[in-house]
Amino acid sequence: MPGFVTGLLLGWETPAAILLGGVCWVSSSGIIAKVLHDLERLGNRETPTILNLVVIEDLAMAVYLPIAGALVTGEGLGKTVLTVGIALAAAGTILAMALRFGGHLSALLSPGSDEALLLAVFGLTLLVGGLAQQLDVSAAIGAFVVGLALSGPVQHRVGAVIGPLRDLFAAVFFLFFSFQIRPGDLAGVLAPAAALAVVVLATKAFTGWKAAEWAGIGPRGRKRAGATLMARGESRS
Amino acid sequence: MIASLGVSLADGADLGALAAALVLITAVVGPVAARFVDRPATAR
Repeated sequence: MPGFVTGLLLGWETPAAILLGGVCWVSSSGIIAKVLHDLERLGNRETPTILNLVVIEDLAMAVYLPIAGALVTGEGLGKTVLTVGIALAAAGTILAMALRFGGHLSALLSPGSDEALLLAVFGLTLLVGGLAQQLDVSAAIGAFVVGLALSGPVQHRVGAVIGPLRDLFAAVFFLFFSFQIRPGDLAGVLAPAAALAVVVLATKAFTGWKAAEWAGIGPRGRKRAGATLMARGESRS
Repeated sequence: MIASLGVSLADGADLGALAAALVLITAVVGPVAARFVDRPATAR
């Protein structure tokens, strides 16, 4: 809502304001994952609440992105509804398959060497993430359900062997993130961006606080949840 | 990603610049806030 209102106040056309609303809405799953890991908060009580919010936001993107795209291109209602339906069905199917066949997948991967396990999980993550992206579902959701499907000793082995890759990709993610920003474009929009940032940082802190409160987490955990969710990615990172 | 959807709009360039600035600010402030929000108050 803050982004949408800001867009209208700036005199933009409605589709542009709706897109700015989306930019302000979604937290960055990449930055949040890195913050939770670096601050050693993966085992904290508020962390499942944070991850739930991030996953729900990514799933909601399956509805938002086709609608926003249709508004920009002037696409018909029927085609937009079809695209949204396909995206939601794909997300539901991927989640259901992860829950139904997760045990079989873990058993299948279990006997292999660490190298075979690393390559299998990495390849599967790229495959499922890529398929999800093709169907207008976040690639992060695809990667998430691959992790969800793994359980038992295999889960611990994967955590150990994939750690260095995770660190490498996190570094590459932030490098490419910086490449997308042209410093020369920022000067003219710094004031409205700073004002909008104050509002969206506060709203996201409140969202995290309330979600953690509903989960029965204490004041310190609520503050951590709110602050962790503040970073926006402007993409399905 | 989201802002790039609006590249063909009349306000597309402004949207891209504002989105980039906003993301940059929140990407810096967010992790810093997450780091320091949990710091215990120092005794005087």
